[in-house]
Amino acid sequence: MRRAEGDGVKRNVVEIRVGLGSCGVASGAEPVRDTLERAAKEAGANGVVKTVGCNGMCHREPLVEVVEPDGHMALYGNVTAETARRIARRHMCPSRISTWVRWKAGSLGEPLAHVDRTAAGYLAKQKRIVLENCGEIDPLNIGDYLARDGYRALAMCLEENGLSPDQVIAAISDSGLRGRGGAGFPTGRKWALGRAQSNDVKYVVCNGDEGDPGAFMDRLVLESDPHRVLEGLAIAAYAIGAAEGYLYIRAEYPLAVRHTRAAIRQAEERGYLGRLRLEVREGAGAFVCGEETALIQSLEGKRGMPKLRPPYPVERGFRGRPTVINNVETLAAVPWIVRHGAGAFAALGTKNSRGTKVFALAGKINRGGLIEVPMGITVREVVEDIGGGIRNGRQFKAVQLGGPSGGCIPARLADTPIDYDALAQTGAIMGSGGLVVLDDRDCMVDIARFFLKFTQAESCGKCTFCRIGTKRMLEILERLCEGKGRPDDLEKLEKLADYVGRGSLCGLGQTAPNPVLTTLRYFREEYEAHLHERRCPAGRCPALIRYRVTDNCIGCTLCAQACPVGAIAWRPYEKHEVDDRLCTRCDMCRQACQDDAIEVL
Amino acid sequence: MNGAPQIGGRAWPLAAILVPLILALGAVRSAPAQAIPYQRPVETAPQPDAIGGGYKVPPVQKPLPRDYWLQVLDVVALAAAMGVSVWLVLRRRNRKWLMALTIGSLAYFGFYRQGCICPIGSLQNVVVGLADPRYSIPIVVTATFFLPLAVALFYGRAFCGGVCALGAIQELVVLKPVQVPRRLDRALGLLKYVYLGLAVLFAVKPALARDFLICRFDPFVGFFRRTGAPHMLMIGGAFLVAGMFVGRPYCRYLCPYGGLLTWCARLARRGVTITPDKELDCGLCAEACPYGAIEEMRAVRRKCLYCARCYSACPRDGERAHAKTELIRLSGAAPS
Amino acid sequence: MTGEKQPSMARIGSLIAAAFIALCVVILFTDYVVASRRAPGDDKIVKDLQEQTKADASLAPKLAAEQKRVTGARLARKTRDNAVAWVLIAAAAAFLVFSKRLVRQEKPPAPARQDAAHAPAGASVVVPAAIPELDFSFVDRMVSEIGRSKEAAIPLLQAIQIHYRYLPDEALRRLCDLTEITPAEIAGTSSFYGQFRRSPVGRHIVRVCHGTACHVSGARQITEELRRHLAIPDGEDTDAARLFTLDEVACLGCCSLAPVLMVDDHTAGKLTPATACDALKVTA
Repeated sequence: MRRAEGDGVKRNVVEIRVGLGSCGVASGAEPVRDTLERAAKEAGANGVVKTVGCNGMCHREPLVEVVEPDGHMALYGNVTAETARRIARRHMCPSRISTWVRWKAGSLGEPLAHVDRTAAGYLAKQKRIVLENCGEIDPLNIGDYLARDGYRALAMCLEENGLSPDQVIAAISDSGLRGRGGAGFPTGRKWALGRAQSNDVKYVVCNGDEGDPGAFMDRLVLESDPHRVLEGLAIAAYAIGAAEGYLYIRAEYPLAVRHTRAAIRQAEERGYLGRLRLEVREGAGAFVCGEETALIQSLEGKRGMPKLRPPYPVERGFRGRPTVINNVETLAAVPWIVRHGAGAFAALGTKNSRGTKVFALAGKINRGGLIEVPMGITVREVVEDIGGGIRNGRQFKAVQLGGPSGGCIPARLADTPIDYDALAQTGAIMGSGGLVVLDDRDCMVDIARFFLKFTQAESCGKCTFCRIGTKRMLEILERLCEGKGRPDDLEKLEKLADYVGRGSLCGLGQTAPNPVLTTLRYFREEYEAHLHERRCPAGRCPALIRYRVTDNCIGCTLCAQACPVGAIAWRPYEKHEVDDRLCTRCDMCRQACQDDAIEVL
Repeated sequence: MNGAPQIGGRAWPLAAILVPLILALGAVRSAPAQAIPYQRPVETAPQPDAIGGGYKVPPVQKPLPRDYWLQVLDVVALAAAMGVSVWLVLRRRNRKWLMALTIGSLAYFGFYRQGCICPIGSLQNVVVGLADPRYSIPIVVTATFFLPLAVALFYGRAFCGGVCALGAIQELVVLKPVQVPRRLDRALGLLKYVYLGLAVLFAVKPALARDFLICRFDPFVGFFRRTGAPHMLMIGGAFLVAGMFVGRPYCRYLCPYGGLLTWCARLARRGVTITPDKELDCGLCAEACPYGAIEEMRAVRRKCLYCARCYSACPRDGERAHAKTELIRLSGAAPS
Repeated sequence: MTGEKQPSMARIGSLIAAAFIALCVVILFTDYVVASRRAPGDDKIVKDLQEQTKADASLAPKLAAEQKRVTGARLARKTRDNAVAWVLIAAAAAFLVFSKRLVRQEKPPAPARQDAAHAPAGASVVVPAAIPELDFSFVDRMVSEIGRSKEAAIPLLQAIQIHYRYLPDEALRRLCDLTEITPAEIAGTSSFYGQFRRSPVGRHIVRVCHGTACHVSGARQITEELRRHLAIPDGEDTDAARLFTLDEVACLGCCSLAPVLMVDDHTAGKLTPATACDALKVTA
């Protein structure tokens, strides 16, 4: 139970917040909201149901948070329509006696709720700056944002005797904020360069093309707190002197697009944006458009193919004018820095990586979701303390940081602090924040192949080494996964990786070999097993594994019922057998078996 | 793989006890009847001296009522049989011994005692006892009526499993049962309440108009007595033939006492439970149950007739099990 | 001791027992019929004799003899029937034992598989939907709303795709006529971005997420199961009834719910290959 901060909501009613981000909706939060609204109507307006964004605790979706009139807050996770009814009955106080009696009678004999300490473990080590408001405000209600110091930073800039653009840039530079999209370029310096350009017309762009598979930080911020990003963008525009701004958001995030457009409308209505004109442009499904020059091409209606730098977009970008492009997360941190001062931000983190970073914790973890941690926290703390350890009692093998541009950090290096430089030394990169946890049943060769397949498909095709090199690397990896590796494959892989990295124009190609290089460095034995022994140690690659029924089988026929291709004959009370020719390695039999009688060879 | 119920093997000890017992009781039974001095009640009937010719009134032989201690023994046997049934089904989960018990009950309560008195019919006596102040119901009959209900309150229809003679004979003929669709099962199940109502109705009539329907229309008593009205014998035969393919039709759809047992079984805390054991739910128990008492992988207590086929079909725990692990019991009772 | 010996022994045994049962039933039935035929006659004879004896005492021995005969016959019948009844019971018991052994030879039936889940959706109706005639005035409207410059290319294409659910060639040509965008540029842009489709789609688009978290949680099995379930031919992405188009996308951003798929706008998470097919039913 936490106490609510003064957020200006009327304090004589019970406020019930339902998280309706994309994860919440996918977990079934809409029926929960309907149930709560029905209950609120019955209660006669003693309870207010508010839809909020997601607070990042995705493993507990749907989430319902109840704020009592005295400020006590209770968070309920994994809420169903039935439990929602119980929550309403417990917290709302109906105005009509008959309803009250009916509710009390209906709640007799209900099991008592118990406090779940895991939520505390999840939240304890987080420091929420960017995610400050997420899950606590209604993203479509600008009043909520204003009540939480919204647009105050912008006001501090625009008012009389407010901060001048140089002061703003100085604050950002002193805070040590680095670009959160993955490259980590100091934001203050970028803005200073933008300001120094002598052109009249300048642009600001918010890069919301979060294409990394496994990353959804930007989505959540845009869905749950879009005004924050708008404020950051407006401050950026003020700092460099731009009058027009674009928010380039992936089309795969329809909710984020909707909320951002609504937020822009609301801000414009209230005149907060002044002369600044903001427009949302949707991406069209190309990962490479996350790269800034490609993004600009896309904005100009062309194929998203990166261009040679220099000239940098800061000098010559959109329509040939200076353009400052920042990631959503970077911009979302700006209002906080302006409000609280550069020192507060710089006090967190490490010497070269100040502040906090939002990570999307996913994979074989117990408590997945979005977290914001101060830089310098170790990988182990993230995986074990915040994430709650590996699911199903398996063993921690590696984390994959930074998506297709990043790399794998093995469990033995889990005490590496999360810091741009420390991570670069391991061979991985910070990336945009995707943190996928892998266990002992994940094959590293398969992971490398997965990422390379992705990069190969998303390669724009301009540079020969990227276009053809990634294809050849993919072919080698697929051969390895099928057990058809050739003796010189590993050397070829390393050489190609070197060439592709050096011969590519943009970040996609330059970092495409990273997954391969890091997995080769730390998990070479797996590659060798695939190559020399035609064996997949993790039991993952379909062509190299075989499913077999052990003597634990009691003949209960569950696997035969589960097999979608009929590879297990239905023979009750007799030990079952998997027909290898029909088996597609879909793993359904092993999941169905309750006696651990199916093993993967 | 032998799960067939057969007399043989380990059931011999039980048979060895029951057979001599029955024979001994038979010896007791065939003791000659006594002569009872007989007073002719009606004056107008011809008197011996009026008939003349040295006519002697023949000694009247009235069959004795059964010795009281034997009646009590019947009640004790009923209780003991139910106890054994509960233990065999819930603890030992052994169908072989249960079959032996079934055959024993059939032999004793059915063929030997000729199906009378039985708890099913005793409900009529209880009803008459309540309705007619001049009828004093013997306590053994009351006991016969209440004992199975009392057991049902705790353990479900243990009476139906291996103790009731009518159930026993149907149980033995089950060959290839088909699963009756649930709706039809429910609809037919209402018939037993109709029958119950009619039986009560006819039993409370005044003495001369009173009719014990259950006894009159008992389809199997003719087999126990090896004699009976031809139409009842044919109906009984039809029930048995039907019983080969539809498990225990009389028990499930017509037995009025079964209606009472169903109500009591709803309150039972312990009974046949298909425990949610890590969602094994392979469904083999549901296939094995011929009486439709397993719905959605959980036992329906009020329909369970205590035949223990589900337990014996479980690949974890029954006669066909390879594994030695027991079905793990989770929290208490499953809903009926 | 299974094999040929047992079944035939059980079969023979049950046949013999059944024959006995039939025989006994016939005997009992015949007895009953005969006795019930004779009973009125016998009773009448005895009754007549009783009347006559009342008048004439010398007939008493004859009456006694008749009564003895009738009673004897009935008692004999009773004993006979009793014996036959025991034989019948024994035969019935034997029949049950043999036929139970016979039934045991056969395997128990397979439980009803959830074949509904494996039947392809709409498989019975395999008529491919005809591609309807399209109305391209929408293109004009969009151009007037969004703009004619080259920069408007992607928003225009996106609007057209949302409306027609793919990019018809005719619409693209019209677009080139109305705007400054050249056909070459349209061709380049529409083929570069993954969102755009140049071929018609089914009524519902199923997007299976193949992001990192979903990949390690088994997205491959889900996609394969969906392909099997919808009977989508290799090399294509739409089923024969043109109801569902299967698309593998990079990341839908719901990584804690891996594996995830989207059917039109509805997202479903924490899938297994078994439940993935159920997720399709949302649209039906």
